[in-house]
Amino acid sequence: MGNFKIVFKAMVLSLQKRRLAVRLWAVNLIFTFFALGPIFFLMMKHMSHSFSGERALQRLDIFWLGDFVYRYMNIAPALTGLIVLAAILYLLLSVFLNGGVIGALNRPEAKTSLADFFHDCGLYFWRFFRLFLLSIPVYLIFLAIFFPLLRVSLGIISRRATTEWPALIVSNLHMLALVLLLTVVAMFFDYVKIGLVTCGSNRVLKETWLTLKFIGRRFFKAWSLYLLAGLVFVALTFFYLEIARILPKNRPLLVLLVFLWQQAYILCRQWSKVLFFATELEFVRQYEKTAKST
Amino acid sequence: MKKLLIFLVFLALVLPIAAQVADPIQYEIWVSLDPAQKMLQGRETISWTNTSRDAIPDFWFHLYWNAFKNEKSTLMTEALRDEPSGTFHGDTVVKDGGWGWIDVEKIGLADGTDLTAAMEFMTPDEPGNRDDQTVMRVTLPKPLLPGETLKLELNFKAKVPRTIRRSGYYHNGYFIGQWFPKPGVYQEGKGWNCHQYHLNSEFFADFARFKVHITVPAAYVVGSAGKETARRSDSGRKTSTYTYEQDRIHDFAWTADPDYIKIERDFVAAAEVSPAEYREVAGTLRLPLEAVKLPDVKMILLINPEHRSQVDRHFKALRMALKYYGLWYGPYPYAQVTLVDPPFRSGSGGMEYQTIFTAGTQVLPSPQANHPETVIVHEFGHGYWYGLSASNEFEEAWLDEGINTYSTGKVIAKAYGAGAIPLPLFGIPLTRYSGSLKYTDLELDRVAGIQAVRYDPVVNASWKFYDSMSYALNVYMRAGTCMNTLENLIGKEAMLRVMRTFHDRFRFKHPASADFIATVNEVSGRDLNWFFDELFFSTREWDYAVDSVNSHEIKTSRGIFDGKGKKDEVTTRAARELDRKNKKPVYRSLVRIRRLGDARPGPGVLLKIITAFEDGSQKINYWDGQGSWTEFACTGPSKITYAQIDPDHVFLVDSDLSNNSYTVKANMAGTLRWTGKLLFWIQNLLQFVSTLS
Repeated sequence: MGNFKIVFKAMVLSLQKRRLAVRLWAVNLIFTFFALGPIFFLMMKHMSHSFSGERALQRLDIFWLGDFVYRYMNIAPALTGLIVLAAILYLLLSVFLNGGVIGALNRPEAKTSLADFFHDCGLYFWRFFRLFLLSIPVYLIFLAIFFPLLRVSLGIISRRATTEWPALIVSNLHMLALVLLLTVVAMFFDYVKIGLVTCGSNRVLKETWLTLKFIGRRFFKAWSLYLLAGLVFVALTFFYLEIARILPKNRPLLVLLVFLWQQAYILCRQWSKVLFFATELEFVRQYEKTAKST
Repeated sequence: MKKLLIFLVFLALVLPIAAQVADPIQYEIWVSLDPAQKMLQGRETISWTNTSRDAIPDFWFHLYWNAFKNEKSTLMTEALRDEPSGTFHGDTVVKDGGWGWIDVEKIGLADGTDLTAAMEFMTPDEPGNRDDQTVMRVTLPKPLLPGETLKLELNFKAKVPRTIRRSGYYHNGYFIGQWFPKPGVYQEGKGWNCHQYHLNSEFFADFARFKVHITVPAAYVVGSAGKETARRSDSGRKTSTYTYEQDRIHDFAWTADPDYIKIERDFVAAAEVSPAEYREVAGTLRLPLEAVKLPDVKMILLINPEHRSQVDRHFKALRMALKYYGLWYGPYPYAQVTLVDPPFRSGSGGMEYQTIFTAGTQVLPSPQANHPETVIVHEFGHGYWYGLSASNEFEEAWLDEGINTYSTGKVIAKAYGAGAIPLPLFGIPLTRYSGSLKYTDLELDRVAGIQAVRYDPVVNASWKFYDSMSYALNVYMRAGTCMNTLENLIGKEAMLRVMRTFHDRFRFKHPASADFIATVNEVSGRDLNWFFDELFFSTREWDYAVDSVNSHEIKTSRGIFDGKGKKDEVTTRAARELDRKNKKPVYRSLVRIRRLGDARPGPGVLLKIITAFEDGSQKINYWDGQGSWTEFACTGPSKITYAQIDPDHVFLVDSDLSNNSYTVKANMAGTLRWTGKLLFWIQNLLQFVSTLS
C-alpha cells in the first residue's frame, strides 16, 4: 500500500474516531484556562476599567503593552515559571492521554466511550511514562550532539559567506534540519507506543529494540509517511492563518468569532495528532498483514 | 546702479567662498588602503587657528581605533563589564587578527620641528588608567597665542579592525570611520574637550575644511564624505586615488567595496515641495518664503547587489528626509549626500557621519514595515542633529540622539504613517499575517522610554549610564518621548518654531542642553525649566492615576432635627418613603486622583481631569498635581460614567497611561480579545510541548 493510501485510510479512521480530537481539545482548553488564570486576572485588573480596554479592542495598543510590561516587570519570572510548570504538567498529561488515543484507535469499534478512553489512559500510562523517561536522553543526545554538530558544519559555510543569501539559506537549513531531526525521534517513539499497545507488551526496552529493527528496515518509507501526515498539519495551519488574517476583530461579537476560529484550529491540531498516530498504526497493520499473508 | 548691482553680485559670489576659507581648521590627508594587510597608511596636515583668548600649551588628539587594540582599553573594559562574553551591541566578538589600532609614527611642525618625543597618552575620564590609548597629547614647543595658526604634519598607520563599533572590514567590504588622528575641541577658559572612547560614547569635533586623497585597489567602488573633485589611476600599481573635498564638516568617513553598485539621482526641490507646502511652513515658522526654500541636492546611493530591488525605497526615504528636515529645520547646506547600504557583515549599518551615512536592510524586507526607511531617515537626520548642530555626543548624547529620534518619528509619521511589525521567521517577514499589527515611532519610543526612568537621567555623560541599555533607552527613546511631551505642552506650531530657532541659532556651532532649554523658554514664552529639571535632569517617574470613582444617591437624612420649638425625628421608614416619592434623585459623585510618581508639573501648569456622567454631560477640573492626592466631589442628577486625567495625553512620559482613566462599567472586550489571543498562543505552545510526550 502506498503512503498516500495509508494517510487516506488514517484520515478515515481518525475522522471515525473524531471524539478523540474533541476530548484532547477539551483537555487542552481547560488546562490552558487554569494556566492562564493569573495572567488573565492581571490583565483584567489593569485594563477592564480603563480606556486601554476599549483601545485594545480596536487594535494592538502599544501604550497599554508598555504600561503592562513596566508595571509587572518584577513578576515576569514568576509568570514565566508558571508557564514552564504548566508545560511540564501538560507534558505528563499528554503521556497519560496518549494511551487513551492509541488504545481507542486500536479498538475495532467505531466509537469509544469515555470510560474506555480513560481505561486505556490508565492501562498504558506507566509503560508510556517509562518510555517518556527513556526518550528524554535520546532527545538530549539529538539536541546536544547532532544539532551542534550540524551547526558547526553549516557554520563553516555561513562564516565564509560574503553575501546575505547564503547565510540566510544556511540558517534556514539549520532550522529545517533541527525540525527534521526532531521528527525522526518523535516518530520513532510514536512507533514504540504503537507497538506497546498493539502487542499488549509491558516490556518497554524490548519493544523499543523491536521498533528500532522495524523502523530500521523501512526507515525512509516510515519517515516519508510521517512527513506526509505533517504536511496535512502544515496545510491546516496555512488555511487557519489565511482565514484569520481577514477576520475583523474590533467588535465584541467578532472577538468571539475569532476565538471560535482559533479553537477550531486547536481542534484541528488535536485531530492532526490523532492522524499521526492513526497513520503510524495503519503502517504497522499493513506490515502485520503482509507478515501474516506470507 | 548697474555698478552697484555688479558689486552686489560679486559680493554674493565671493562672500560664501570667503566664509569657507575662514574655517579655522583645515585638514589634508593622504591615505592608502592595503587590503591584504588590512592596513591604512596615512599622512595628515592640520592647520589649526587659535580662535580663543587663551595661550594654548599643548594639542590633544583622539586616536579612536586604539579602543580596539586590546581588552584593556576603556571601551573594551566597559564592554566586558556589560557583557563578559565579549559581544556587545550585536558586534562581532574580536577574534585573533581582528584587533585594530592606530600609531602616530611621526608628528612635527610644518617648519620641520619634530614633536614625536612630546607625544603622550592621556586618560582624562579615568585618571590613573595607563592602558587606554585613545587620547594623545602633544606638548608644543611654545604656547600657541590667540590668533596664531599651528601647522602640524603627521604620519600614521592604522590596522583596520574586523568590524567593531561600525568601523572596519568584512571580506572585501570596508567602512572607515573615526580613522585618523583627530583634534579634540578647545574650549576657551576650560581647555581641551577630548574624552576617551567609551563603549556608549560617540564623538565631538570642530568644523573644518577637509581635503582627503584615498588610494584603493582599482576594482574598489568608493564612497566618501564630501564631493569627489579628482580621480587618478595608477595602472602599474592597479590602484585608484580619489580626492574628496568638503568645507564645514567635523567628521570624515569613507567606504570601499568592489561589489557596491553606485547610483546617483537628484533631489529636485521644485518637484518635491509644492508652493502651498512652502507657504504653510513659512507661515508656521513666521519666516519669509525665501528662507524656507530648499536647494537641489545630489543623492548618491552605494548599494549591495543583493538589495538592488530596493533602490527606489532607499531614494524615496532619502528624498522624504531631505524634504522634511529641510523644511522644518533648515535647508540642507551641502551639495551632495551619500547613502551607503553597508557591506554584508561589516556591522557598520545605521551610523551617521557628515554628508555620508549608512542604513541597512535585508534581502527580504517587508513591504508594509517602515524598514529600512526609519533607519535612512534617522541617520540622515543626524546630519542635522550632530552634524550641523554639533552637540557634544560624549557629554550630552540626548541632544543629538533624543532630538533626532523625535525628528525621525515626525518625518516617518508624515511620509509613511504607522508601519507593520515585520515578525520575521527564518528571515522571511510574516507581515502577511501580522500586517494589522502596526505601530508608530512615537508609540514604540514611549513604551521603551518609560522602562528606563529609574536608572539614569536623560542628561548624563555617556559613560556614566548604568549600562548600555539605560544609555540607549534614555538618550533615544525617553528623550524622544519627552520631546513629544514638550510638543504637546507648548503646541505643535510653537514646537516647530523652537526646533527651527534652535537649529538656525546653533548651525555650525556646539550647542549644549542649556542652549536648548533657553531656546524653548524664549520661543514658547514660558518658563519651562521645571520640565527639564523633572524629566531630563532627574530620575523621577511621572505617573498620575484616577484611583477611584463613585456616585451614590443622596438619601433623606435620618435622625433628630431641630424644628420650630420642637425636635423632629425622621425615622428610617419615613426617610425611605420620602426617597421613594422622590422622582428626581440627586447623586453625590467623588473622583479621587493620586500622584504615584515623584515628578510634578511646574508652576502654572494644571492637569486636566474630565468627569463624564450618564446623561452625557461632562465636568472639567484642574489640579496642580503637587500633593499626593486630590479629590473632586459634585452633586447632580446623574451618575459618573468615567473620569480621566490628562485626557489629551499631553504627558506621554506618564509611565502608566492605563490608570489615567477609570470607567465605572467594566469593559471586558479588550481584555477578552488579548487574553483570548494569549490563550491561543499558550494552547499552541502546550501542544508543541506535547510532541515530546
